[in-house]
Amino acid sequence: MAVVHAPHPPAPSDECLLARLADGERGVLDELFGRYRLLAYRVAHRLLGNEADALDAVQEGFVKALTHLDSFQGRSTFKTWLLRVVSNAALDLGRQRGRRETLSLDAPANGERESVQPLAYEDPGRGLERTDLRRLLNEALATLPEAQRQTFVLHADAELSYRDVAEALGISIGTVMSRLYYARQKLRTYLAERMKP
Amino acid sequence: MRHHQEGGGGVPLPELLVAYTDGQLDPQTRRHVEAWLAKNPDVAAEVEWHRRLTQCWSDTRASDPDPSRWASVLAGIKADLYRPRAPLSRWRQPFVMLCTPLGGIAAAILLLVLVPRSPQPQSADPAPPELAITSEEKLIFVADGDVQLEKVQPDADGMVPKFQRGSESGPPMIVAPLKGAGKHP
Repeated sequence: MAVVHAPHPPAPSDECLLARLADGERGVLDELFGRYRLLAYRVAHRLLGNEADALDAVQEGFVKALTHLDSFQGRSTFKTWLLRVVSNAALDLGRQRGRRETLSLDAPANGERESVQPLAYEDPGRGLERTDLRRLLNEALATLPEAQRQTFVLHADAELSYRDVAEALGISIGTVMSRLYYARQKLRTYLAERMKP
Repeated sequence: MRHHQEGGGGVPLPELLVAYTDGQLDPQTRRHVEAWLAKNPDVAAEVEWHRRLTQCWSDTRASDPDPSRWASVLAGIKADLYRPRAPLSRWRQPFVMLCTPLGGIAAAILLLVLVPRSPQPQSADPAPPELAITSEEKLIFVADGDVQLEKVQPDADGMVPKFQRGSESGPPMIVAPLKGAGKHP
């Protein structure tokens, strides 16, 4: 006898979840958080360089995004709106606390899953271990102007398209392209200077 | 994304090459860039560098935090979003109920006292012309307690002369020509 699997119901849209949240259904918060927590964390961690600060920024970002939904007003997707708020929270936190030295505080803690396999990249990785490479890339990122840094992280870590980045930041796609180009040029210069044989 | 940004001779702008490596070009523009790259292999190394940077970036993303950390963050979000407001204590409730209307009455009284009344109709007696200030220079108005008023005679120009007490300079004074002080009487 053939086994028929009932099709999975499509996941509710963000708009649907937000409407239910506004109606007082607090349980949907878990769903929303679960959908975007990792992307938000990646953005915050790249901008701040350590787990503790990144989680603080994620928490603050979610609270701000959900308490200011009237500012959102559906002009962009909730995802882009949330990631913009989280990145702003991370940048604010970085300014307040001073961007910690990633060399001393980003070392793997006990229990933290870290793969330390060497990566055989000729350039720009050049055989650096993953931890060292991450530290170097984060240092390079920290030298960028804030606007370029935020644009780059939203694209490279949050995996937003150029259009979504433009929507999130309220800028044109051309500006996104320009910022990303100059960001890469600066990263290239920084990495080349520090990886000289 | 449709971008036909080109420099001279059909050369794609550098931003376009980065967008190409990021996979953000529409099919037509992408084919245009690929055709150009095929004719300019010296640029291929730069494109490859950008691809490797993207790969390194992806490989160095932060690891997923421990589930207990996520639970803590979610609990913090809920605590901030749904923080209950402390209810008024029993003794404060009648106090608030009594003070609210009293506060409104007090505010109304203050408004009546502080807000100047509408100007009275012009009386038959105009202000003494000798005291009318005609100068357009800035005047400094100070409260009575801040200055000491002294009677001085205006000079020939009708100006109040600068006043000094010994080695100390006097308090600030209003210096302005007096109306009608054109000619010395």
